[in-house]
Amino acid sequence: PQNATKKLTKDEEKLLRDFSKNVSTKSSAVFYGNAFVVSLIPLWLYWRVYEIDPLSQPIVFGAAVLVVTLAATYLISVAHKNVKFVLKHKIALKRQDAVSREINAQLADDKKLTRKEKDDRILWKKNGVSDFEATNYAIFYNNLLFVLFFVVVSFFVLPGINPIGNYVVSVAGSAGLLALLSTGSK
Amino acid sequence: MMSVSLLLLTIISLFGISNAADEKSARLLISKTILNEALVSGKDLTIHYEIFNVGPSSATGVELSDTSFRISDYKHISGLSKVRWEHIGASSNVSHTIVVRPLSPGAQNITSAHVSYIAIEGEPPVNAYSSEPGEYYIFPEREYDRLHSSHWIEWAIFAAMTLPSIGMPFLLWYRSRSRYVDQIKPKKH
Repeated sequence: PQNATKKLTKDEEKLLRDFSKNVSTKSSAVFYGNAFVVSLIPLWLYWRVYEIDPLSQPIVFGAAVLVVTLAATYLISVAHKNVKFVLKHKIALKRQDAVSREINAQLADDKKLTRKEKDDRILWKKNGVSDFEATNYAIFYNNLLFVLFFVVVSFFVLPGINPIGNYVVSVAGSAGLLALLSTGSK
Repeated sequence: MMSVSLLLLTIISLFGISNAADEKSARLLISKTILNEALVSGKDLTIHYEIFNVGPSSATGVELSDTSFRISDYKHISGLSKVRWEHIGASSNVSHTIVVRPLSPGAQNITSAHVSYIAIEGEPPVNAYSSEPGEYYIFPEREYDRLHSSHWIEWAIFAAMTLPSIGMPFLLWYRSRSRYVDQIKPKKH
């Protein structure tokens, strides 16, 4: 009886984890790392196209870069988490059959495993696959949108204002838009 | 009484002489214009001179000299700043163009060029000045580039930088998807 209770709790915990929005540490790191890199790339354009001279206003520019990069990294990561959460379950449903077939084929000769253990493996694999796919698709989708938003806002909506202001509004604004959009897609 | 009338006579006759002189003298009008739409430091600046002879007779020994573009502020690219035409006929014109490059940005006052020519044969040369283009602002190269250059190289590099962040996740997702989706396809048939 004690063993059974323990197992149930573990399963319940696992289910709870899958359905919660909190991503694992590894996933988090991937999201934050990606968001950080993406939020830095526009700076290149600002240096070359808008010809911002960092040396002319070092304090203002440095502060702007720091604040905007932190804000954008956070906001883009939020967008990643939200999109991934929505996608993961959709993908899990789609992959159910294919993963089952694959695992069953792999373990067909193994008589030692029970039905329950095989199902567990299928569940585990399915989660792994949908987690991986959802993460990647979320990053792809959000990065693409971010670049599009940023280019449109920076060059078509606000080309006239001073470069540093343009940088702050375009990058932080695009990241914010992205985060906003991700919460609405549920 | 005699002296007054003599004086009057002298004055009237002088008028007569000068009128006669006008009939034979050339008269040059010189225009100096900037052909550029924008003046940018480090970029070529084209100045165009046109000399019109509006007088009834030819001007000879026409010398155009422009010292307003100092070597300290401008680099001479092409065209001479001192030009000589032996002969400009009545009611005809000549033109000349020079190209200089401003070395530093800022406000510049572009003054007249000087022309000396012989209006009437035998007389000493006459001085004339061209029109004055006036004060211009020479833009720094950086500001001009920011507004006008197409920056396509920078955009290409930007595209190359964003491609990994977008392309790699997509590829990873697509590979995983195709691995599992393909297995379902046979079922549909």
